[in-house]
Amino acid sequence: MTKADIVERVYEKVGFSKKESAEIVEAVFDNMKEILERGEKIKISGFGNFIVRDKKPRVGRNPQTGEEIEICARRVLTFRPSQVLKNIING
Amino acid sequence: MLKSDLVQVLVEERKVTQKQAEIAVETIFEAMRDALRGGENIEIRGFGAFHVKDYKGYRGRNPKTGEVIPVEPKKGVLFRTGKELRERINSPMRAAEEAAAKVLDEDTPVRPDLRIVSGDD
Repeated sequence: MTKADIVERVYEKVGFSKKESAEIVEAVFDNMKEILERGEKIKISGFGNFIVRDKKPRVGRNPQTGEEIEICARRVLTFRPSQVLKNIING
Repeated sequence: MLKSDLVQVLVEERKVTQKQAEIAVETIFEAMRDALRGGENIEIRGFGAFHVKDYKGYRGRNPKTGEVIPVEPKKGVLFRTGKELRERINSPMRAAEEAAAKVLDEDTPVRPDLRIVSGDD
C-alpha cells in the first residue's frame, strides 16, 4: 500500500475530488512530520503511538572490520502498535 | 498530540468541515489497518514504512514459577522511519548536543554565577 491507495480510499469515502483527497492525505502526513520533528508524540487510538526517543551516545562496531566507532547521541522515532491493531493483524 | 489534533489542523488549514476532517483522518488509519490486516506492507514516502512480521512460536517460561508455557506463533507490526523524517527528527538533536557540550555536568543545575571563567583576562 502506498499513499496513492490511501488517497483513493479517502476519495471514495469523503466525497472530495481526487486532487482534494490527495491534498488532505498529504496535509495529515505533513502535520504528523511537523509534530514529530518538534519531539512530540502522536497517539492514534485504534492504531498506535509514534514516540520520539533520545538515544545516548554509545560505542558501536563496524561489523565488517570490527573497528570501534562512537555512535553519537541522536533522536529516533519509534512506533508502538496499539492492542487493537495487534489483535487485528493476529485475527 | 491525538487523532483529534490532526483533525483540528485539517479544519483550520484545509477549509473542510469538522465532520469531513474526522472521516478523512479516520479513513487514512482505517485503510492502513486494513492493509496490515491482509499482511500487506505500507510505504509512505518521506514518512516511513510499516510491515507485518511473523514471529515463530516458542516455549516460554513464567519467570516467577519457572513453569513452561507454549507461546503461539504471532504477527507483529514493524515500523521503519523514512529518510526525510529521520533526518528532520534528528536535526534539532545536533543543536541540543552542541548546547549540552557547553554544560560541564548535565546532572548539576546550571548556575550562571558559578560558571568557570577563563583566566585569560
